Order: sequence, then C-alpha cells, then structure tokens
Amino acid sequence: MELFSMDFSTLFTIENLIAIVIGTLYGLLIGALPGLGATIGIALILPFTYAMSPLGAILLLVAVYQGAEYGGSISSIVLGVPGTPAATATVIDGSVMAKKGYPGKALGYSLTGSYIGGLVGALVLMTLTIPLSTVAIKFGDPEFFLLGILGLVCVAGLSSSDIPKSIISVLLGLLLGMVGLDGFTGSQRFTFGSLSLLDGVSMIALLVGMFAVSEVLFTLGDLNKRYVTESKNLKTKLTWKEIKMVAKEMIRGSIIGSFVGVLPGLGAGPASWFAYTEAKRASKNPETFGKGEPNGIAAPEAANNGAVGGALVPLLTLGIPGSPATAVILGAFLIQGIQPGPKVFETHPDLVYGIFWGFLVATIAMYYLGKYTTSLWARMLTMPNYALTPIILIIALIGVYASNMNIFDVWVAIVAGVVAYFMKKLDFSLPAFILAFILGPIIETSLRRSLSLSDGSFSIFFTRGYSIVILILILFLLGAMIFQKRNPKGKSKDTEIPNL
Amino acid sequence: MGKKCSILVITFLLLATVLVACSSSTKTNENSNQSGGEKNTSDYPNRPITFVVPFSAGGSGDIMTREVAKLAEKEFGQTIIVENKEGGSGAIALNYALSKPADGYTILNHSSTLPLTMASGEIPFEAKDIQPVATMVSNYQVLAVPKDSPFITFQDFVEYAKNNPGKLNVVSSQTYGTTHIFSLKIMEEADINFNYIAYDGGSEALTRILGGNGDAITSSGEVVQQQVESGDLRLLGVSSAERLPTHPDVPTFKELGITSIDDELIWRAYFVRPGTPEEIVEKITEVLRKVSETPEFKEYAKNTNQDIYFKTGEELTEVFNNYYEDGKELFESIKK
Repeated sequence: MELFSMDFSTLFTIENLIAIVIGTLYGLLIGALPGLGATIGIALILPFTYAMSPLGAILLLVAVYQGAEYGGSISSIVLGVPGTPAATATVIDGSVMAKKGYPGKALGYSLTGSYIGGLVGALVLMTLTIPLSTVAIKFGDPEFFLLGILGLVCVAGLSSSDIPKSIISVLLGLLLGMVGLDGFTGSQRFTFGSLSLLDGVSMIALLVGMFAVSEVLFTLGDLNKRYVTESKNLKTKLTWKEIKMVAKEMIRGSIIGSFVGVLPGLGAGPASWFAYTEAKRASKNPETFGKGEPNGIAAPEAANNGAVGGALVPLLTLGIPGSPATAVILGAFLIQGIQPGPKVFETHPDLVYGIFWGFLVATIAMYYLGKYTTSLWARMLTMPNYALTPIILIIALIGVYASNMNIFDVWVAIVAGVVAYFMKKLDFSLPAFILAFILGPIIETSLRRSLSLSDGSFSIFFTRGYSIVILILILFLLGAMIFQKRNPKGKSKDTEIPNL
Repeated sequence: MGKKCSILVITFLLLATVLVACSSSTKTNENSNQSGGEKNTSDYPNRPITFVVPFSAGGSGDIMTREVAKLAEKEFGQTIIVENKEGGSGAIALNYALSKPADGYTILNHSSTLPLTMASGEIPFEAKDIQPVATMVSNYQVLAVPKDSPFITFQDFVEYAKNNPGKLNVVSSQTYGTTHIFSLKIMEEADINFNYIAYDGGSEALTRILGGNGDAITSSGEVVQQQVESGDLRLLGVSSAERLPTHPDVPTFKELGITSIDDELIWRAYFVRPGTPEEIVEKITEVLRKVSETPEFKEYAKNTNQDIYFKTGEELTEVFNNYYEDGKELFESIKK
C-alpha cells in the first residue's frame, strides 16, 4: 500500500514538527476565543506559510484547523460562550457540568471526544478518501434537502419534552433563517432596509447571544456563587470507567462527523448537532441531557473534530473545499503552486501522504497539548460570579464584534440573549431553534434548486437511490418517535424534566 | 439586593459606554469627510493605508489583496492594513469605504460582480457612487459539460435546447453575478432557454455537475480547470477574445456567433471614493501598475490560474460601465 511506502523522513523534519506544534497551540487559542473560529484563524496565519515548504505549510494549517475545533469547546464549557459555531452543542451539557463544579471533567470529556473524533477523521481520510468522495459527489440538492429535514425531525422530537413547543421553536428558527437576500431572485426579505441584514442574521452573533448573554442574565440571580471550590476538580484526567461510558457515543459522533464533513456545504456545525441529537436519542436516560451528561459533551466534540478529516476529503480528491476553513487551505495550496484535485495523487504523492500522516500526528499533538493547557482555562471558574459575569459578557460581545467588525451584530447578540432568556424560562427548545436557523437556508435553497432541476416535479425526492435511503430514515425516526410517545417505556411523566 | 442591582446597573452602563463609543467613532469619521481630502495631497501617503475587502478572509479577493498589500507596502513606503468587511453582497464594505474621507487612505477591493449587483438593484448603490482605479487580474469564463454528455460541440447544445426549451439545467454560481450575465447572453443570442441554477459558489456548482446533477456548467476558467485537464469535463466554448493557448481546439463564443461575449471576463480591481484628489488617484494607479509588473505578482497570478489584467483610467471606466449597462438591460428582461 502506497500509504506506508512514503518516506517518513520527509514528514518528521524540524520544520514540520514545529509547524504542527505552533499550529495546534495557536488553533487552541483561536478556537477558545469566541467569535474567532478555524476559518479566521487559518486565514490570519496564512501569510506566514508563504515562505514554508508545501508540506509544512499545509500541516500548519490543518493543525490550526484541528486545534481550533477542539479549542472552541473550551470557552463553550468554561464560560458558556460558544467558541466556534460548531461548539454550540457542547455548551448545553458542557457548561452545566462545569458549573456543577467539574470543569476539568467536562474539558476532559471534550478533549477525549475531540481526540477520538480527530483520529477517526484521520483514518477515514487515510483509507476512504477515494470511495467517500465518489459517494459524496452523488449527493445533489434533493439529498441535501432531505438531510436538512432529517435534522429537523431529530431535533424537534428530542430536544424538549413538549413537542408542540419544540415545533414552534423549529418554525421560529426557520423564519429567522429567511432574513436576508433571496439567493434566487436577489430580492430582500425582512431586511427593513438595513445593509447589515442583507446577508441575514449573523450566526455567530445569534449563537453567542442566545447562550452567553442569556446565561449572563440567569447568573444575575446569584452573583456570590463560586462554581469551583476544589482545585482537584480542574484536572482533565478521566478514569477508564468514565471513558468507557462515553466510548460508544464518541465513536458514533466521530463517524457522523467524518461523513457530514465530507459533504460540501454542511460541515462541522450541523455535524455536531446531529451527533448531539443522535446521542440523546440513543441514550437510555435522555432526561440527563442538558444537565451535564458526559455523552452530550463527547458526542458533538467527536463530531466536530471528525468533520475536519472529512472536510479534507473533497479538497484533496476533487479540489473542492467542503467547509469555509478548507477553502482557505485551498488558497494555501494554490499559493504553493499546487492544485489539489484528481491529479494531485499522481503529481504530488509524497505531499498527499505526508498530509495524511501529518494530520494524524497533529491530532495526537492536539490531545497532549490540549491536556496540559486546558486546565489553566478551567481556573476561570474559581472566580466568584460577580467577577466572572462581566468578564463573560465583555468577552462574548468583543468576540461578536471581532467576527465581523460590525457593531450591528453586537445588538443582535444582546437582543438574541434577552429573547433566549425568555425562551428558556418558558421551556421553548433552543437547540431546535438554532438547528432550524442553521439548516433553514440549506433546506430552502436545496428545495428550490431540486424543483428547478426536476421542472417542478416532487418525484425527484423519491426516484433517486440516496434520497430514498434518507427518506426511509426520516420515516423510521418519525415512527419511532410516535411509538415512544404512545408507550413511554416505564418512564413516569414527572421525571421528564424539560431541558433547556 | 442592593448589590445585585448595582452590578446590573454597572454592567449595562459599561455596555452602553462601549456601544456609544463605537457609534460616536463612526460619527467622527463622517465629520472628517468634509474637513479632510483637500490638504496633504503632495506628501501622500504619510500614514498607513487601509485596503477594504468585501469578502471573508481567505477568499480569492482576500488572498489577492494580501499579496498586493505586501508588494505595495514597499512602493508606498507605508504600512497597509487589510480589513475584511464581508456581507450584504459587498454592500457592507462599500458603505464602509464610502463613509471614510475621499483621501486615498481607504482603498476598496471588489470584482466584476460589483457593477452587476449595482445594476440588479440588489444593493442600494449606483455606478456613480464609486471610482474604479485599476483592475489587476482576470479570468475567462467557460461553458462545460460532463465527459459522458451527448453534447460534443456548442451547436449540439443549442440544438437540443431549441428542441427542448427549458429542459436543460445549467448549474452556476450566484444570481446576478458575472456568470449569470454570461449565461443570459448565451441564451439571448443563441435564442435558447435553459434553467439557470445558482449555487453559492463555483465549487458547489462544480460538485453538482460532477455528480451528474445538471447538464452543463457556466463558471470561471479556474473553477473547472482541474476537471477539464483530467477529462471529467469538456469545454464547449470560452469567453475570452482569443482562443486559449492551453486549449487551442476550444472555440471562443465570438467565433460561435455569440458576438456580445467578447472578452467577457471576471476581473478583480481596486476602487476609491469619488472626489479623491487626482494626484492621489494617479499615485495609487502607479503603485498598482508597478505591483502588477513584479515577478512575485505574476507568480501569484500563475499559481491561482488567473491572468494579469491591468486596466485603468478611461478604459476601465468604460469596461465598468459596460458591465453595469449589460446588467441593467439583461436583469430587467428576466425580472419581467
């Protein structure tokens, strides 16, 4: 196998190893800063790669990518502020567990999840690149539409005990996702003449507002509280028993992440939500989700790191970036004078296999560097609330501003925070709302394109192989949901405490 | 309770201060519009210059601007700051650049899409709101089909479309973008009708055509270059004035009888606010010209599969206005 026949001395050079270490540390930091995600992080460090060798340059960038996807969970867990959009699902259980006094454990679950996700992503990249890309490319608009619907069905049924309320949440999310320019006709929808709304409501502003700002409003009720009083709770070490408990969901999340990552246009954000809802659906105790359930941290984190390896698949095999971050990495390839795509395996085999192995090394580096740096972050929670709350608010709002340099987004975050505060109080489902907001534009455009392709005929959704598979999956889930509602398996109604 | 209240009040006061400070800084900028501009034209530039990019960091426009900034710093003898103001189909960046004084310290990057989004009415600006300074690079556009497509030549494509109006699906990027105008011109002059299906970018459209979800693709040459080389896609025609040296057997659209497509290119350019003093515009033009002639910039263009395309002054204004007028006319016709 060519994978093993490469010359490893070209990989383990000082330059490459330094690139991986620096990239990982920088990625962890960028990911942990709210508002700055992998894409911005990679773009900012891109100019430094011009003078490097092609392999070193790409490894630096994939290390940043991998590091940032884990780093995003740090502020999600410690501050309750999603560090990256893909780390939003982690906030739900991560910040609850941290605030129960176990920030170290929560970070440990997230780190282990990210590590496993990264490894699975790397394995997928190394072994399944060619077959996966041929499957992924067959996914057209009808499949994307049905995948979006599948996502909504999952989240509407599972994220709240009150189905009508979560359906309302889904509808509100879809509605908010419609704001902005209509991609087909160019007409403005619900923009009220504001230039800032032409591209719709900023996702980062909305996510940070809904989680961080609303959390700040909640903590105002108890400002003298100190979340962590024992420093031994800052350690990120997990016992074998704890790892075994989340192993299944980590693997499942990793696979979901790797596959969703391969599909251009979906990426790590939806992947982590899919993993979260799937973990909750499969769980024997779904009521523990939202109250610091380890699986609720490990699954989405495994998924968003799995998506990193997945996103590199179409980039390397087709020259098509699967996520905004890989679009920037594509730029780095071009600057080096290398065009990734069907021919790169013949023209630059050493580079491709170097990236494969280097990616694996970067994932391992992420685990160890993450392990020794993240307990520092957990110390934040030893501060009492009256000091911590203003810090969270300021960091969140600066992050929102930094993401787009637009003060309008800061207002969006504040309004979203106030609205989310009331939504939580009234037991509406925030995950349902947010996933609908993320998937709404994907669902809408792919529906309209599908119908345009089929000349208005709906048969396009059930005459294609992959479409039928997804359709059956949707029907199966709906059936299972209805069945579960009618026969609650021995679970008495009053233990079902509403989540979020 | 008292403590709680006071912290609440302090938090919101802090917030208010930050927000007010930010909004008042925009006001100062507006005020300086009137006072600035006239003086200091001879020693331009005497402070850092800002390049505003309407796309996210890492996009094609951003990568070019960072390359230009690196090379132009030496020529200007001043630091150049690259700011990304993405969103609103470029309107956010445009609005931001126009809020700065017309003194040449704020230079806007944009592409041939700008006159088109203006023409479509998608953004609330018109051609007179911006002054083009110089284009830097360009890319031709293509009509391509998958390798197993029955269409061997452009004539096959046209014939099928004539016999089956509205049956062909042509995937492409963006509504009201350069490839949209290009597709509309093909439809108009060949007197055919196909479905123009817009994706969020060239690479998304490419995925669809490779997956068999579409009959043809219109895109920039760089998007499909790899697949054309590997034989997965077949070019039916190119938008450049001359045949491509790399594909001498592919006809240009002008040869195919679509005369309105003559050097219909996607280009990337720099703009300033109208009213910027003449000497300053000249200085910027000169610097950009020198940048476009450096071996580093040529290397960049080659690596990113683009051609050097340096147009300035009258010539560029004409190109810009042509795109604007074409856009006005063709987009009007499809809106009906």
